Amino acid sequence: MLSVTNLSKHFGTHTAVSDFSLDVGESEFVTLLGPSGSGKTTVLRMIAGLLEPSAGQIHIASQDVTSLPPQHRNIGLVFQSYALFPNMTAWDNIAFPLRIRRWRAEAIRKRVDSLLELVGLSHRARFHPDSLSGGERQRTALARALAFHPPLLLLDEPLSALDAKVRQGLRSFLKDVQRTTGVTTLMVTHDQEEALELSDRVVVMNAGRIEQVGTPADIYYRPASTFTAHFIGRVNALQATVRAVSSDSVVVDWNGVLMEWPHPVNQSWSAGDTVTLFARPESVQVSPTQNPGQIPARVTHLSFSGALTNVHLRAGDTEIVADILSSQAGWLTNGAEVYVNMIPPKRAESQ
Amino acid sequence: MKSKSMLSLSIFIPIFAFVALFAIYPAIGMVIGSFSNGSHATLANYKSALQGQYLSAFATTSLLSLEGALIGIVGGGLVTWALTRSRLTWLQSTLTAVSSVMANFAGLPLAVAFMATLGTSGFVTIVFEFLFGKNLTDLGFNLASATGLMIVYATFLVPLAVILLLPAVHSIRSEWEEAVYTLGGSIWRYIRAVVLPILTPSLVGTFALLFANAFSSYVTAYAIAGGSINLIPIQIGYLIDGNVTMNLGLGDALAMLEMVVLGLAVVVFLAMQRIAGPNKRGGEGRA
Amino acid sequence: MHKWFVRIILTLFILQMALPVFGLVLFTFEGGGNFSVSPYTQLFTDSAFWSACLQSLVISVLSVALAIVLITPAIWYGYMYYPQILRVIEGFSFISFVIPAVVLGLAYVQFFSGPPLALAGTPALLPFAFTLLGMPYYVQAILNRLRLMDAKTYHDAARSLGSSAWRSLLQIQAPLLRTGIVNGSILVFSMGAGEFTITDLTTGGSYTTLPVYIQVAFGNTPLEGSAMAVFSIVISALLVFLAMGAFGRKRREYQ
Repeated sequence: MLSVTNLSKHFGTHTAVSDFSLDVGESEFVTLLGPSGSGKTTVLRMIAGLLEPSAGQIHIASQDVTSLPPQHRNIGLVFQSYALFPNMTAWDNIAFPLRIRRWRAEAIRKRVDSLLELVGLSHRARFHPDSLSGGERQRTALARALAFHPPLLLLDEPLSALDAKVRQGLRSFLKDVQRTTGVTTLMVTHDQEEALELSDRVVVMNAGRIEQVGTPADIYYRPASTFTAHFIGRVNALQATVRAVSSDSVVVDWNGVLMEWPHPVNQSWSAGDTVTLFARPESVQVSPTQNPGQIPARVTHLSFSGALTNVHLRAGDTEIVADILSSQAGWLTNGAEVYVNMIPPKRAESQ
Repeated sequence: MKSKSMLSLSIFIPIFAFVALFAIYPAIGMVIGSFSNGSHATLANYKSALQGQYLSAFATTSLLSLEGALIGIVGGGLVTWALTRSRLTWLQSTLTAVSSVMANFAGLPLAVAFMATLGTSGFVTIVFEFLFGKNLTDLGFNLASATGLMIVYATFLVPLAVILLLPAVHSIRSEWEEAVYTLGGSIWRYIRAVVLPILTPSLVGTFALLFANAFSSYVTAYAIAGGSINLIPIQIGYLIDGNVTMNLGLGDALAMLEMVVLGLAVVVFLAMQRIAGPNKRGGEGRA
Repeated sequence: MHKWFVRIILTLFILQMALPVFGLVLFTFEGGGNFSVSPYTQLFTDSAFWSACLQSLVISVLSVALAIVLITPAIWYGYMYYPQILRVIEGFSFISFVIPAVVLGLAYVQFFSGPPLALAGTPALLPFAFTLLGMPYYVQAILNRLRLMDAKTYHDAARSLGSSAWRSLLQIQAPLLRTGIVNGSILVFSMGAGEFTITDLTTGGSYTTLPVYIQVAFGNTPLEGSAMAVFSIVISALLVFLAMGAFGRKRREYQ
């Protein structure tokens, strides 16, 4: 559907995006995830036609649109600030692109009314943006971007201006709308939870380059780089030595304990290498007595955060954080001697 | 609690006393004076104020002020647009400052500046003759004419329009333009459907204020045109300065009429400011 | 095409602004036929010029003081507790747009010429007149500042710590309002320093401020008068840049 090849953008001597390539399939939901300044919004704006690329091509439905002005690209774009026109009602905002396309009045009325129903704003149709809440503005902007049946929808940090509770509700709403309309979607965000929850695939970006492309589970459990591992959630970085390599997994030695670990993406490990393993806090098991494959550790700090209790541990000179269900953490006390092991990421999780 | 809030209201006494004594008292005095011939009530002042040279002075002043306001709003609008388009921030702030200075450049100094520039031996006149071999005067140009006065007025009306329009033009966000493009519209569609509706209140309000400003110009007009153009402020000036026999009642009536015109313009300005206000924040609900 | 249009408009505007000022400056140097700086040397050795400057300074400073004392507390208190009263004051502030200088002069001559307020013929009316003329600008300068600095929160904080309203105004708000006061003062000052009509009408020419002296000088020694006009443009430009500087500082403080 969307095919981007070797896209680059320079601002003077500063390189905002370099050599960015990505293919997005029909009805797929892909997210560009990265910190601010990683170039993700620049990529989005080049696809929308609001920025001219320094190099590279953009194809939409196998048509080269690289030098096409934005008004002829037929892309729906939801702006971070929504960019609703303050002088028009919600209804008129949504009708705007249809009037440009010279739809008949009756067709416009039908389409706008059904979109307002889709986004649950029929009762707000006659309101101006200023009297809509943040979430309502967001939904109006989404309806406007979808009004003319664009084959591609771009979302620029669509939820970042909203407070946490509204954001959570709109996330599932956004996913529902994308599923019902089947529109191919490319979203930009710096919020990893949002990216993991919504996307079919996530593109992690850093300093203008792609760090990793993969399914949310891939990105989460099998980060290809230290950057990805640390950017997405909390992670324990463990030093280990590779003992044996097989076709799809390796055996590593961590503090004298042998573990089977999936072979990482983008890297090749061989026996004898010292490597870094990334283990999420919820993949750390803690028990009061030593089971096979566990090493001793001492609890240094406990903090209760509702459903989970964060257990800070020290094993030798390694700091480890474990998330334990609070309902099963009652026995843990500061200074307690415990035993820990890592649950290796499973192949099944990385499909 | 009640007595405390009455006490706190006393903080407003000085300002209201000031306005009452130095604005409202003289204004009421003029209302009364305009209906009096010194001993009893009469409408004679208004009768003479609305005929002959005074009526034609109103017509001339209104026409010139409308013309000046139109020049100011078109010129100022274009300059403001160009300023916000220019990426050079130093140029923007310098020209904004220059506008503040020039919007207050008036009176005899401004008149003399123009005599030294476009007068019979002004440097532009001389350079023009040197370049094109033609004298501006021979081409029919005369600084002491309505055209000359317009050129002089434009020198403070255009920068005044720039200062008044800048906040509104700045409030137009670049995303709106981008949004129009991604939704399939052209730049003309953007101007017609978004820019003009948002700017209209500011444009109308600014027009009203420019009109008021031109209407009440006295020293500049007098210095440039002298008695050759019949303007209301100049007529009022005559009445006080004693160029004609002192007639305070007639002066008051002329002043009242001028104040009615200016008051209307200021009311339009304030009303438009209230409409424009919410747009600056990004839109208003009228549901 | 866009770019060229922008450049052409800005160039024309710069020319429009620069040409008359340039003409005036050129005239002061070459008005006598040959290049000469004598209008300026004459000007700066003319004691009457300096006394006119002093008269202007005195009147303008008095106007500024009057504006600060009369307007600031009322605007501040109205903004805090009485928005309706604030709106009335804001409306009143535009009176000076409705009453043009020549009309205000006419009115003052008529109504302040006999007891108990026989002020016409003396400069006593001028600070009041200039404060009235500068009021819309001063009120807006203070209001802009109040809106920008979130005055209500500071006031609530001061009150919650046990401070009285007056103490809050003097010790907390006034220092924070300073840039607004400075900005508004500069506007009132330049209004006063450049005013001719009302000065001439109400004092009957008995009080010579700089604009009045410029008027007089144009009649007798046009070159020196023009040099004074250049001088007053330079001063007003300096004041504007000073005000912009205060505005810039205000921005930095609150980022």
